[in-house]
Amino acid sequence: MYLLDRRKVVFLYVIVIQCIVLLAGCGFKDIDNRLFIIGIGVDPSEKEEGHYKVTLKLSIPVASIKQEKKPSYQYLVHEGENIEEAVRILETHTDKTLEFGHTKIIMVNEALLENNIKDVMDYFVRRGDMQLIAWVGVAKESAEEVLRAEPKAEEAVSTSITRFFDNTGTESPYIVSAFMFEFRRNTRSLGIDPVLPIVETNDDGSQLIVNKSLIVQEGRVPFELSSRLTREYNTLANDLGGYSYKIEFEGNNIVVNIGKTKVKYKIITENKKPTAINMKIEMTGEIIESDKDLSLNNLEKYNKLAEDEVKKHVLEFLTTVQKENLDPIGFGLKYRTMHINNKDTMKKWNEAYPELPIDLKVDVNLKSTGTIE
Amino acid sequence: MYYLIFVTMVANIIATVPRILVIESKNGVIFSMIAALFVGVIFTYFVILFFNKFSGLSFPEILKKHTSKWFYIPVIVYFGISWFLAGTITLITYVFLFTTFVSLETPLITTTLAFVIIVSFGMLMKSESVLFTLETVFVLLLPILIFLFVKIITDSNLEWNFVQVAMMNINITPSYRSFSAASYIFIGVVNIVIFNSFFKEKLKFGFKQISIISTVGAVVLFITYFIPIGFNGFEQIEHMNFPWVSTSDSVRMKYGVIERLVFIFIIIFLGISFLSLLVHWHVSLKLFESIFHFNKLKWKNKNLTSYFFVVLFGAVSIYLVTKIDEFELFKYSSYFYNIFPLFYFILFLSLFVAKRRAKI
Repeated sequence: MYLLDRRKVVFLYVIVIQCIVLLAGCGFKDIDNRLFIIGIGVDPSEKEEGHYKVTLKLSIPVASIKQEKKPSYQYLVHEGENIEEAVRILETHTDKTLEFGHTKIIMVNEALLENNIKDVMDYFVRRGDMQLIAWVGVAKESAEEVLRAEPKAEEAVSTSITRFFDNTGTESPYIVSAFMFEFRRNTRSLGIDPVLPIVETNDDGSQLIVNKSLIVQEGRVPFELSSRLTREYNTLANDLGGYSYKIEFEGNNIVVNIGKTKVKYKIITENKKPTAINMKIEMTGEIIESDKDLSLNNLEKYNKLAEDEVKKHVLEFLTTVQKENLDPIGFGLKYRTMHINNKDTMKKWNEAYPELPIDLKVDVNLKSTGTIE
Repeated sequence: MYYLIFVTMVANIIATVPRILVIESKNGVIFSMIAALFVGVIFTYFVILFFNKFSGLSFPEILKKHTSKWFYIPVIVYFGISWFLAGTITLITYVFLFTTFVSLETPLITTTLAFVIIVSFGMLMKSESVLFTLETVFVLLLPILIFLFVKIITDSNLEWNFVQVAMMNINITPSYRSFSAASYIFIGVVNIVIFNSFFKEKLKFGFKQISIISTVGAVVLFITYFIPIGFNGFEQIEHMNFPWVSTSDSVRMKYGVIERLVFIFIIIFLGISFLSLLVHWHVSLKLFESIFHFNKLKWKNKNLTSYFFVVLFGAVSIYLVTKIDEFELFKYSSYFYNIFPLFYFILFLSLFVAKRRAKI
């Protein structure tokens, strides 16, 4: 008696042979033969016009997290005519395969944003093994320097620079974050302009600072938003709270902390032409600082004051970008959703946008005066 | 029966269908999809109606019984080849996708071989076992599949404004190519040509069943076309080679064990496309077996006809994988979708003939 009939034996053999064939390498490289790239920086070349300088930030694997106090990185820098060429040369600077699957951050020099941004981003999107959920950031002086910064608080297994954006550590309305796919989408779509965060370092590279941003539009110098305008942008675009406004009245200074924000907007049209932007903001918050005693009875009054203050700030942001003919919020996109598509939908919008009146309504609802009156 | 239909619907998300739809995105896809939905459901209804008349008989058996030889041989060969190609398209698309996104260094042939060998065993199973495999795997994958789609649709980076912009392009007359691609997702019902021999009782196909199939079809079409646009924008969506993989790569699971959703997506669709491939090739094999029987091919009292076809299928698909590039794959599969109405026409024609003869 046989335990297995012939068919089963054949089946088993084929499975075993296939396992052997597949296990014996066949193109897979083991993890100890790979180096993980966590960040890529692209700068314009210092030597030749039109060339790029590519910086790769590699993380060196550690044996045990407990033993390592500081993370260890290696940096590879090379200049090439295009990014691929530089990356290929960099492969010869190390004995291991470069693995792009863990790249979390792409730093681009500000100088490249005006004309070369499509070339630069194309390579990263085209590579299938790169994540589309990598973050894109802008470096003012040099992307290499930003990548080389190693903040003091950095732990062995986490990279500071990505934790700015991923909303697990710090969460702040001053930080704009843009995924690669999001940036690509907004760059190439009509009616919305992408916003990228600016990452800065202090002089000795022990600190990273992210609180400004840039509105990018192909073919023109990117428009920089100051920290305050960045905050307004984040409020409107991402409904983010967690910041404060200072209100002065009757010789009294109070600071209002905004918790939750809800923004709604629509485009008013008449005769198939946009005539106004109608925006409504609802906020809830509390009073966080005051130099005199407050009364809960007066909350209504403080609401009113806060509304005026918020209105002033938001309008300042909106008119600034409008004057520059930039549209980071995506009003144009909203307009397009309301109209059957034809050739001059966008033309009409572009003509009307810079002079479009903004009708803003702010509704602040303060909940408390904190733990003391 | 539902499994056959749904697996084909879902499997097409990863095949060339979404690519064709997004390429045609400026050419009136929306009307094409609505039309395809109606036509697809009506075809499904009629196919089931016809086969209900011959319950317990497979398509080759019906034809052999009621039509003459010169008629049924070409029809069955045509069906067999179509079904083989349908499976091969799924296979090649998946292999390309696998090498682009997961394993860049693995040679194409290795990946294909791994697929083909496993599927070959599946093909040689009894039809009944194929149905059971289909059911088990699909039921196991369904919860993860639903999780995937819920995760993708509820993602905060999905910009519904772009979806609306895409909908605003409703004023364009539909194109044939997008129509045929969209109606292709309803093709799963035709697998009944072989599996009908296991449906001894008449299949119920009343209002309830029709509404289930049309709802699922509508949801699948909606997801297939609009969700990639929400993630990638309307203007440049047609430049995406794998709209759906890129879409799933755009979703981040903040506290997930795996941060990138794309890997779960690819693994789930490995299962789904395996099922779809298995069913297609199995049906194709059965069709060929029903007309070709090589008496000479014998080894120890066992006829090797089916083994011959299995090897042939594998060899042809490996040859195609090495020869074809992505552009050609896309071109040929869109041709393939375009001639599909002819397929339906022949199916109905032959069934009609058989039905009339059977009455007489």
